[in-house]
Parts: sequence; C-alpha cells; structure tokens
Amino acid sequence: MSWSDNFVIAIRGITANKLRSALTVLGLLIGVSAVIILVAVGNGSSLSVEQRINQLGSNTLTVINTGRFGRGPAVSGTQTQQATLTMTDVKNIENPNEAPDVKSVSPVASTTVTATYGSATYSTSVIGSTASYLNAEDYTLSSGSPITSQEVKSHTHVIDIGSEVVSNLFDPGQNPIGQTIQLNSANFEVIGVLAPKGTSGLTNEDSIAIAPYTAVQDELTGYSQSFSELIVQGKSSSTLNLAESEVEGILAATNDTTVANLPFNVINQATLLSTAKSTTSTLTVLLGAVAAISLLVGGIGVMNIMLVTVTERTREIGIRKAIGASKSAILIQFLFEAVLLSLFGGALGVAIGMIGTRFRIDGVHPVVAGYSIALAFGVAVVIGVFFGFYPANRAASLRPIDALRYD
Amino acid sequence: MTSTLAKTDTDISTRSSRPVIVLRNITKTYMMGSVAVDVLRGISMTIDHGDFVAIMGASGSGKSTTMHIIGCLDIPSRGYYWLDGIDVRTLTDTDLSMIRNRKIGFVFQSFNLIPRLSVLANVELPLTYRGVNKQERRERSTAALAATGMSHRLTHMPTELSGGEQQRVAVARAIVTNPSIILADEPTGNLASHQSAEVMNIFSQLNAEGRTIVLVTHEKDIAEYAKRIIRIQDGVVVEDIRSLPVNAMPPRLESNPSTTYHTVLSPGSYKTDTLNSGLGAYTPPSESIHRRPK
Repeated sequence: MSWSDNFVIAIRGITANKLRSALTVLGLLIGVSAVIILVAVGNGSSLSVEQRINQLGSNTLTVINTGRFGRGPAVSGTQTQQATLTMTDVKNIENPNEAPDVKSVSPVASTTVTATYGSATYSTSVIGSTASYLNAEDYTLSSGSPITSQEVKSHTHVIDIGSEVVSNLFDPGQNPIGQTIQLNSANFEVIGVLAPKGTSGLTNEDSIAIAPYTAVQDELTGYSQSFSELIVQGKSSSTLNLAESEVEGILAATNDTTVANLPFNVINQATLLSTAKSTTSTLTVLLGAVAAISLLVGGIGVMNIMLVTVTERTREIGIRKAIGASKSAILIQFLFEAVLLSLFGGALGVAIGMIGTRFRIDGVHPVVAGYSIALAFGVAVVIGVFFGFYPANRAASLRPIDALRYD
Repeated sequence: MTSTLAKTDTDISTRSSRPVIVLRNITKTYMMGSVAVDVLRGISMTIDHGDFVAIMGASGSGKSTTMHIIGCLDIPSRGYYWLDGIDVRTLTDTDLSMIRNRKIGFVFQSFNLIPRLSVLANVELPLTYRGVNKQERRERSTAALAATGMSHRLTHMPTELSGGEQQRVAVARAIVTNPSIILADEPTGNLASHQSAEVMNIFSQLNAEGRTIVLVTHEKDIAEYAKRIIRIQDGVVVEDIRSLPVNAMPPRLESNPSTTYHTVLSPGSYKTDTLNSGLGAYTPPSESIHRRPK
C-alpha cells in the first residue's frame, strides 16, 4: 500500500463522521493553544516585572525609612525618638573609606503638589534630590539640562519635569524650557524635560518632577531636614551585595543599633529581581501545567474517538482482513487516522495560539515562547500516535471471522 | 513478500490434477461461556483444482465454519489443512492475509461490501492491499465488474444497488485478484430466484475458466450447479456425491455468447469483447487463468 492510498483511506475514515472528528480536533486544538497562550502569558508577565524592576535604576539600593522607632527595639516603648535619614547619613555613606563600593547617594525628599502654569493645573509628585539622582534612577533628558550640584547647594528653584507633566500643563508644541511653573504657589523654572519611561508598578514615571532637595525642603516639605529615602548607587552589579552590607553597617552604627534591628529597609534591586523572577517562573510553570493537563485530556479524547471508531467499524475491519488486508495495513490505517486528527488539531491549535497571544490578557502582553509551540505541537502528535496505537492495534489483531461476526 | 507464497499465481492449467484443498480431521471447539461446543468433529475432504463443490447441511451443521477454515478466516482447533501444498498452520498472520488476498476470493451471503466506498473502490480494495498501482487497479476492477455485468454501476454506492447487483459486485471483488479458488458462503441466501440464477451462472462461468469453486448452501437447486455435493451433519461429513468429473464443464452453464464473464480475464478472446472496448490499453495480468482444453 502506498502512502497516498493510506492517506485516502484515513481521510475517508475521518470524514465518515465529521462532527465527531471535529470535536476530537477541537479537544486537541484547545489543549495546544492553551499551552501556547498560557506559557506566553506567564512569559509576558515575567518580562514585564523584570522591566519594571530594571526601571528602578541600575545597580541601586533603596534605603526606605520604615517609620519604626530607632535606638532600640520598638517593643520596649521607652524610647520615643524616631529614626530619620539625614544629610549626615548621606555624607557617611558617600565616604569612600567607609563604603568603598558605593558610587553615589541621592537623598529623596518627595511630596505631592499641585503644579500650575497659566490656567492649567496638574497634580504631580516632586522629588527633591541631588544631581546624581537622574543617573541613579536611569532618567534621561529629552531636552534641556539636569539639575546641578551648584543649584542644589544654592537652593535654586529649578526643575526637570516628566513628559506627562509637560503635556498636562503646556500646549502642544510649546517649549516648556525657561517657563516658570508654580508648585503650591512657589515658582520653579523649568530647565529640562525627562524622556518618557512608562509606568513602573504603581507609580507613573512620567508624571514626576525633579528639583534640588534644598529648594523642595525650603518651599514644599516644611522644616523637616530628613529624607523619605536614599537612593544608593553601587559601583557595579557584582558588588551590589557588598555595598548593601556597607550601607547597613553605617546606618546601624549611626543609629546605635544592630543590622537586624535597623529602622530602615534596604532594598537591593538584584535581590528583588531574582525574587520576582522566581515568582513569575513559578507562575509560568503553573500555567503551563494547567495547559498540559488540558492537552492530555485532548489526547484521551483522541483515544476515546479511536476506540469508538474501531468498535463501530469492526465489521469493516473484518471485510478488509477477509480480502487480504494484513495486520499492519489495518494498524497503519487507524494510526494514520489518529495521527492526521492530531496533526490537524495541533496545527489549528498553533494557529489559534498565535492569534490568541496577539491580544493583551489581563494587562499582560503575552510573549510567545518558541519552545512552547514546538512542545505543544510535538506532544499533540505524539499523543495521537500513542493514544491511537492501542485502539488501532486492537482492531488489527482481530481474527477476520471474529470481526465479521461482530454486530 | 514471503518466499513460500512467491508462486501463488502459477497458471493452474499446468497442474490441474493436483489437490488444492486438503482437510484432515479438522475439529473446531468454541467456548460458549464455560461450555465447550464442538462445531466440527473431524472433517476430512480433498478438493482438486477446477472442481465445483457444493457443501450442504442444515443450519448449525458446521458447513460455514468449514468454509471459514478453508478461507483462512478462522483457524481449526485440531487437524491439518494444506492449501496448495502449504501447511496453513505454519503460516504467520501476514502470510495468511496474503493467501486471502491472492489465492482465495471470498463471497459472503450478506455481500460485505464497505458501505462508504463506491462500487469501483470496493472492487479495487484487494488490489490496493496488494500494492497494485492506481491505473492497473482501475483497469482490472473495471474488467472484473464488466465480467459480472456491473459496468454500468461503477460510481454507485453499494446501498444504491439491489441485492443481486451487490452480490455481483462482491463476486467482481472476489475475482479481481485472479484467485484460483473462489469460496462462496450462501451467496444466494439473500437473493431472489432470478438474481440467484444470474449469480450462479457467473460461478459456472468462472469454473468453466478453470477456477475451483466451493459453495456453501442449504438449497438443493443451488447445489445442483456443482459437480460434487458434500453433506455435513453435526460437524462430520456424512455424504460425498460426485455427479460430474473434475475437468468436466459445469452442469448448468448457460453458454450465452453475449455475456462476458468468461472472456474478460481470458487473453484469447479478450479483444473481441465489445463491452470492454473502452479498455484498449488493458493488458491481462500475466497470471491470467487460461481456459482448459476440453
């Protein structure tokens, strides 16, 4: 028997009961496309988490004031002075003898203000910091100039504003550079516009303004000389962990406490990234496992249909054997049918999967993993052969007279 | 293909006196639940090339089981069966399917055509399993259908045909591989009497061409088409009567020159066959059975 004869016989078998064959194909289609789409969603979400973390800056540690009481454990209740992050801490950490792996420290004094230009108003968060902040947090300017150390020192009212601040305050086409905007009635001159960065977690990175911390403290945050956080930039990613322990040591010494009882959180970007990665890869595995189960169920569907087909066509098998079909010819016929069904289901599943991953699913842009296509399609075909073999072999092993007598 | 079967298509005119079917003490026991039922209790018979044998018996006598064993559709519980000198017990499953394909043409009472296939595709099927290419398959199937007078129904589905027509398609399928033995299990059981006569005449013609015909029937007038009648009762042979010698012409052959069955597969008279004029390119297969000298 030639391949084309087998093909024709298998096609005839499949088209003999179109609805049943279509449902079998549907089962495999759902399985294959589920694998592709769910793995792509897992992939996409893990990529976007990675991107967000990378947007926090490069090689940075963030020291955040937790609001816990310093100088002793909070439970004692006898000490009442709250730990703060001050310029002293900045100077200590910037000291290359104490913290050789730290490149720069940018204090952050931030608040939310209403920005006004002419009749336009916009609520934005203002970050008061030093010249190194832009670099540490990976901000670049699309026009104008950054704030300088000189401006920080001299309490100059200058500001770099994000692209959304620009679009909300200024008319399209108007150059904001050199214009003066009011932040809670204090005048600031716009000297630069930040290049768009997109959203990072809960904050919109384009809806901020960066000014010298001295000016911000003078005009906006009141008399407090403390900072809400410090952005510490390490010299390289490989020494970020060293920089972390140096910073923790300095802060513990300043606050007269141990590293374990430090009233600040030191967030290491690298640690964050690896934690997030392992979380999202767990997610991908979980999604993939769910999809794999549906693929397996699809495969069992193929087996079920082949068993029904074989039972229903037992008499036909008897006739074929009586006129000289060998066991292998019958086996090949039914195996061909099963494989064709699963090839068809697999190919359609890949097509549906590719279409499905073009849509945004729950805020995630799915990213198709090449391996998932190969794996899902391959597994679908293997399932077809595997689950088709048992019914096919059962049909082929029948003695012709037993098959002919079957009714 | 297997060496033991390499010469299955030898011209039978050169060995017409050799026995083709030899059964010795064949028994067959079925298990019906826990009870063993002896269907055959020691059947022995010898059938020569070119014979036309009717096996008769009441229902349940074991005549059909005997036929299934002769046709290699079933295997005996005990006993020996030589088919064309080959001990069937020594054959593998693949060998047996090859024997069913090449040596034997089987005609069933219930026709057993595959309902989803056209008349032509049904007749082509044995050749498909034999690996014959598409063009030759078509030519030989068309010729076989012409031989049974079914040329006008090539593209019909079996369900669109009458019982007699279906049986003639089934006979065409049985002879398309040019087997030397044709086994027919109650071939007229589901047919009206005039259809029976047509089908039986085809068998007579095929026997006249030199093919061995073994027929199972319980109808006396059908058995009278044969040269020899074997009666089976309760699983044993009880009577074996020969009315004509093996190499005689079948007793009720109607020599009708307008019918074509006996000519289609015979090279000598092929070109004069008007019904097959559209098949000018057809060359009869090398294993064609020649008409025996009378």
